[in-house]
Amino acid sequence: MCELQEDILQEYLDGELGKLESLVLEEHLRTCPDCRRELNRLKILDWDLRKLYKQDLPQPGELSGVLERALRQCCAAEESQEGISFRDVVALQVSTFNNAFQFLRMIPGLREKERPRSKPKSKNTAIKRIIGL
Amino acid sequence: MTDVNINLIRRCRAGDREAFAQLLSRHQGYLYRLCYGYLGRQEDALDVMQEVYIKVFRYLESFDEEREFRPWLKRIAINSCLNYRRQRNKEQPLSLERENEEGWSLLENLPAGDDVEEQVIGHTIQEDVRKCLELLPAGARMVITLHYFEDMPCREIAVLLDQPLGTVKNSLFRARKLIKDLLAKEQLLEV
Repeated sequence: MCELQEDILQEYLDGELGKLESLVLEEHLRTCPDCRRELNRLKILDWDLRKLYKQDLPQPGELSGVLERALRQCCAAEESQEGISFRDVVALQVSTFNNAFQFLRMIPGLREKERPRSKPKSKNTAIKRIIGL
Repeated sequence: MTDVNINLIRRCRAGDREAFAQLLSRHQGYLYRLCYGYLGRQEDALDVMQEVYIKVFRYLESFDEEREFRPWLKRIAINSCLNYRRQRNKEQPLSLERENEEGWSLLENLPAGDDVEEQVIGHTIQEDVRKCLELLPAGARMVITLHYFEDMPCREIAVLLDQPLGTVKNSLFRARKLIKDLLAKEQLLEV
């Protein structure tokens, strides 16, 4: 290639060269085959890059899933910052009471009261239970 | 900004999850194309998108309603893409011999100019261009992406990336020269 800097060709291609500089370059391009060839190569590459970035991409079906996961993560982070919810407090209390009264099972003679059997809802159900179905 | 967007943002700030989903689903197609255009892989693009959504959720309180939402979203996406790529790849100078994550270098993997069979079977020039892009440093790749995906002139890219204009131009020119020289060497840019 001649001594012309290639950056000037790139600026010309991007439309960022001044008017006077563009005129001088165009005059040079009339007579310099090397620069003409380089400019053509840059134009083809420019065209390839534009096609690459402008092509329609098939949207993956997971796009909405990405948003849902992000929302869950954000909500989880918020809840951990706010503290335990009311539901968690109730569950914790139930668990605490259950654990506290476990020792009662170890007292001899103390049995759990048997829950009364619920009445059969229909005669058919009662018959089936009697004959062992 | 449109009234619909302002309304959605205010509802998001009030804790309306549905509004948040509505606001972001309007931009998810654009966001995916931007992330995919820069990162080149679907799974990477989806990872970065999730990160962007979380950042939007966290920083929406500080968003100025006088501004447009998409440029703000774009800035978050660009920074997330850059950080993602920098974490995965160490910054290396532009080089044809540099290997990518899979261990091949660009010089080895392009078909020879006279290898017609290889060209017909394996390659399109666009694939070769995409391979070249994968080897660019994070900053140069972002400049290329913004220039060709968003049709942004160097001046606007410099403002968006908070870099000197000369640095942006240099990145763009060097990246294009690298790809051009390589493809020209393999006679893939001849008319």
